[in-house]
Amino acid sequence: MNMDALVEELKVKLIEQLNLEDIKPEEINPSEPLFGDGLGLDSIDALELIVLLERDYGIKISDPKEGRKVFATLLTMAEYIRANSPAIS
Amino acid sequence: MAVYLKASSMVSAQDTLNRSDMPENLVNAENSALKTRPCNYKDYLPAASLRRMSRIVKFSLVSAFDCLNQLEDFTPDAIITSTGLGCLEDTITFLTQMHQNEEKLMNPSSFIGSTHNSIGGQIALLKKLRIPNLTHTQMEGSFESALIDAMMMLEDGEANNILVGGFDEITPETILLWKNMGCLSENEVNRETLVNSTNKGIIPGEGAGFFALSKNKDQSSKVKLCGIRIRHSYNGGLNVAVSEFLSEYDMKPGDIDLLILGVDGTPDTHTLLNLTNNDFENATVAAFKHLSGSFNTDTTFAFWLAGCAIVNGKIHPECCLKGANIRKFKHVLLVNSSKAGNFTFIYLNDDLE
Repeated sequence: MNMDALVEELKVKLIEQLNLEDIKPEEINPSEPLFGDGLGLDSIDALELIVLLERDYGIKISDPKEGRKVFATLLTMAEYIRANSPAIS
Repeated sequence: MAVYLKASSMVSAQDTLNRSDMPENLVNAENSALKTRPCNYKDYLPAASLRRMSRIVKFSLVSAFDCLNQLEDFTPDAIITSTGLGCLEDTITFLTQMHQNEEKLMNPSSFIGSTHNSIGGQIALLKKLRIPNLTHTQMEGSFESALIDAMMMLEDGEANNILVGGFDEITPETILLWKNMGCLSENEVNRETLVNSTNKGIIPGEGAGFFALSKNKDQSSKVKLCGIRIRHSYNGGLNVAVSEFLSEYDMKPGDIDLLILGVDGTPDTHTLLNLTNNDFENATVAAFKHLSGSFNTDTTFAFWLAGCAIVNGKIHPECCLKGANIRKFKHVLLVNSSKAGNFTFIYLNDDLE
């Protein structure tokens, strides 16, 4: 899967997993922060993303410091998945 | 000692939200169930928090906040909620995920939402109320248990004001379960069939009712709540048990102006109708489960209805089984029953002197 396709897939999964009812995939800027500003996600969302990464991409994040970098933006998430997921060739 | 009802709010299948009486136009069951009317959640709740709330959490919070919004100077010292089965939708989601994911990788949101005390917790979080917060779950006696707890706290001086509520929801899964068990009513349940039907099943319903109770009487007091009793067994018949309960308040059945019964159209609840054979000769007799549906905390609907009747001096004709629907209702008795054979009594009056 190429980077663009992965980013688009993540947008859809993010909306579904986090129940972002009023947001459409095209409204998510992959370079914008996921937490704080940007999408304004919180700590419960972070747990949801950890579950998503392990369940759908086979990646386990156990170090909080690592999580902070991985979940900075949708783009950093996609890059991390491409580099570490056995499910993404 | 009695306590005083200062505000009430009911979210139900009928248009009861933000009202102090029953609406003229009533709705009937759709697909064998009475689901709550949709309401604009954003009028009551922060938009950003809605995405993580299931339907029962949203409509219960709307009821709680609508109740609190009616009073300017009511600061609760405790929140006491009640539910028979809790937040079923999130529970089903959580259990389904647990099964599908082989008990690994559980989603936190549905777990958080699935707990019975999530609504009490959300009220506290959103209103920043760091006060005692309890949830009673006793099946059909849940709301009555919460009321008893609230009355005891107020009587013992542990609190001056308490927000008390009850809520339950139906889901497609629960309707299917009831249908497969033969517990769903096959026929329409209305005012006439409540009394005469041979239905084996009920109309499932859902809703949320919240009530502001205070030990202090003031200008905002609307109704006096005198007593509640849950009877698990009784000797000598239901009439005797009711008479014993009323005698604790120097009352007898003939003094009651409005008797609200939890009849649901099945033979199980016909016992309640027998109450009116010899006693309660001066009472208007009313029913509510054909309008609210049956749910574990459906006494919230009857409690809300009783308050409206005392304040307005009328009940909707569609509630009325016997007697005049417009008159002064000074003394009101609610009698509800459970499938397990328990009975609950609640006595209210208009004594605000």
